[in-house]
Amino acid sequence: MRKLICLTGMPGAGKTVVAEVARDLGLKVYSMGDVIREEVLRERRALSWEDVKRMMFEIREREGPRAVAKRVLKVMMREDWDVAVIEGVRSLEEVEEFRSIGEVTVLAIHSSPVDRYERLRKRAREGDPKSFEEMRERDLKELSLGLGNVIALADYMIVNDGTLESLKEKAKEVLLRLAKGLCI
Amino acid sequence: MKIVVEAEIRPTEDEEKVKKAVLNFFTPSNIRVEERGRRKVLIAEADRPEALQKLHLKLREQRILDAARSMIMRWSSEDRVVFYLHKQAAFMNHIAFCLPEGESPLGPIKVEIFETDVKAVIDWLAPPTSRGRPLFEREAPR
Repeated sequence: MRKLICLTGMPGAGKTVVAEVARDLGLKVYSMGDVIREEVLRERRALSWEDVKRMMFEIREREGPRAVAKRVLKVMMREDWDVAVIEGVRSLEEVEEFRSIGEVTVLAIHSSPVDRYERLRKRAREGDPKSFEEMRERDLKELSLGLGNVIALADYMIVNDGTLESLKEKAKEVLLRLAKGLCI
Repeated sequence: MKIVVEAEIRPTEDEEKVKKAVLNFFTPSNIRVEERGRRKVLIAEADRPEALQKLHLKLREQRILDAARSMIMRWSSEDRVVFYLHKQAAFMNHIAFCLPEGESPLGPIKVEIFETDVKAVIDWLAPPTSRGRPLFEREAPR
């Protein structure tokens, strides 16, 4: 049975880093965010932060809470893989959707709001929050999609409260174990 | 189109080596070192997509179009394409995408392509793939 590792966590928790580690390990990585960005590129010829955020809610409103997951699945079905990592899963409905094609493990990355804020400020991607309050507001919006439920019911949790290197090490260890099927 | 490549030169670093790292994937029309307060930054510029031909080729040789597209889309915005490359990897003539912070030990190389047709740039550099093969190959926007 094919294995899917659903990667979840609040913005700035470290999902991207873990996804990169997975890629380096040779695992196939799919990103929910990429699907949304591709959708924006289909509509516009640019990737403004507002459009990406809007699209994230719009697709789910228009086509239901499973829509983004369905799109990722469509791409996944066309390709060869045994273990895939899906970055940015945001609701239990999405997790359910992925269960339809394999054995799903949910891996959550947790980081304190203070650490996440520090990180988001440093990476300063367009649209990243400029104040702690702004981040709070965003967090609540993300949580409204059901992100908290996925994190709460995660099979594994990596606490990212140290250096980038230590996150990478932890991620490598967990991903290798999951990929080999030694857990669960 | 305007392409700006920036790489910080840390005090312990050899300017020539940072320059080589950049020139391994980029053919600028001018290159200079700017002092920004206490920081030294290497800036290389070009105004034609051909300047990134080496990068274009390497993404295909290394078979990393998927990862490239993902990492390029991630930081791009309304009027520019942005991505970050690992400085030491680039010096070794290898393309490795990285995060803007923390991953490349002495700071990443930042590549910015100012062009309103962001989609055209991304499709040219890193088209979507299926089963590891690019779905299409497009010309670069002018």
